[in-house]
Amino acid sequence: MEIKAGRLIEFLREVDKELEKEIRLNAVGGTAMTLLGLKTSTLDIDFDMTPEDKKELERVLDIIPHGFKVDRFTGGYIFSQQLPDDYLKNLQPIDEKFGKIRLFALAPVDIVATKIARLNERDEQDIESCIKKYKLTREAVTRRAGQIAHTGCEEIPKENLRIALKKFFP
Amino acid sequence: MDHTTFMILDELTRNLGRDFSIHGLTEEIRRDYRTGYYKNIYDKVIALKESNDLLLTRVGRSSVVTLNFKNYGLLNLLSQLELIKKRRLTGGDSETGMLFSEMNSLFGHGFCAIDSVSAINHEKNRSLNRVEFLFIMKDLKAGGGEEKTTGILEDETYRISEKMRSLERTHNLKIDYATLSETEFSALVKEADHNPIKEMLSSKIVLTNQENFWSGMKKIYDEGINIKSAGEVNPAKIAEEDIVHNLSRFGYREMGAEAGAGKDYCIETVVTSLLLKKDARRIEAIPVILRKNLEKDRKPVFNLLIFLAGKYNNSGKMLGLLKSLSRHSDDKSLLDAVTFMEKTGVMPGEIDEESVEQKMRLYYGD
Repeated sequence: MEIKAGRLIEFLREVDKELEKEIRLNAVGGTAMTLLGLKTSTLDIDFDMTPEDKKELERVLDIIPHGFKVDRFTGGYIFSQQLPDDYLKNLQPIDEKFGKIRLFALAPVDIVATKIARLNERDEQDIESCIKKYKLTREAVTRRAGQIAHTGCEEIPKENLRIALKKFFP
Repeated sequence: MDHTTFMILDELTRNLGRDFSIHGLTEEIRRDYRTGYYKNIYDKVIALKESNDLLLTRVGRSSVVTLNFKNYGLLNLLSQLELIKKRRLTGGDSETGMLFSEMNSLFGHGFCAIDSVSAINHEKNRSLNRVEFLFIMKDLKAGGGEEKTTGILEDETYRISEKMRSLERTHNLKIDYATLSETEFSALVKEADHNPIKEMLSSKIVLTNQENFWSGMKKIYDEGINIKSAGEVNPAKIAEEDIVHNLSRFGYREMGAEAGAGKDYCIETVVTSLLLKKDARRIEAIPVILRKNLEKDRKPVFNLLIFLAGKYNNSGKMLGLLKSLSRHSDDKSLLDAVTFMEKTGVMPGEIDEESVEQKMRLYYGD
């Protein structure tokens, strides 16, 4: 089942009821795109946060029966890639009122840069949506992709960047 | 069924055991349905009283409205109510419609041991990407011999498990389900302790064999029991004084803990609470607590424990603890529970066997 924005927000409201302190959740990947209206749904729920907020979120996820797969990343290290420190400055606030959750989404250029590393078919569609809606330039994507550190072989993300630039900025 | 009748019966069935005056019933309907005129509700209550579906009992200056389970015709009306509730839910949500339709075709026939199937608190659970079901299994009489009926029940319980796992994969959501015999269900509905089954009564929609479900409830009413449904309680949030109170009730006293008054919860909810609160010392005591209660009239209902363990993602830990307990008890329902969990793919979680054994020696000398 794909998770639409409405269902995601409903879930976060249930989480919000159980939180004992404020936490900040930075949506990444498909979750970010769904919250930004760039796609209609996502398969998984992916958030980046501080280690302290992760602890509190996990405490709540342990006590609320739910059926979501929630991936928790910390400090900008997402999908085996390290975002540059300024990713926090560029986060897009999501306009939903919660009691204790402050909800953000990764900047579209960061979404594109993190998806380029994997570049499967779904990623290609997502990259295209981000570029079109936010009118991202070739230079912005190239610069940002170059700032991301990858674990493992760097050649694959470099090759994927070359392929993506050729396809989306012909 | 007209809408006013629907609203009245829905409120009364969701709040079993609560005394409503007609005015109180109107307030409740207004709160839940954002509509409700006292006159319309009053007129309908009188009409339902005249058709023997409701009772109006004078208490002081008010009249208390209750369902008249002495009238067998009420069961038809309540079955209709369930069907309408099911239709309304599936009408607004195509995913739910597909799921319930599959449930109907999977379990509507081909299972002679299933008495009824209900979906629990569906709207809230859907927002959490999960569904919860209650299967009430018939107490099959030993017409073909106890072995044969036990065999049928066991076979169908495993088949239910396979089908639930298949539905989970198809719909990419979590399914938690309780499988209780009619006897277990009835005992849990009747008991005074707060328990998950009484919680389910206030939020269930009966998906299959609606009349069977309400016949079962009528049997309980016929025994003179006043069934009380209950609001949902998260075991993780049970207060410490209530935990200590209930541990003492179940024969487990902790050093330095003064057991005072508290709210009575069933042993299954208390054990689940201990698992969720992650106090290692108390978790190791779970086999001791369960063993102490195996000899009582109200034994632990292992099917309910299995359901709660699954719901709160503690199945592995629960299996580990039950396996430890099974080294000290040959109680059939315990051994069946361990076998069921193992056969349905639960991997036993890590527990401190030495600590558990130490506690067993301390309390039982073995």
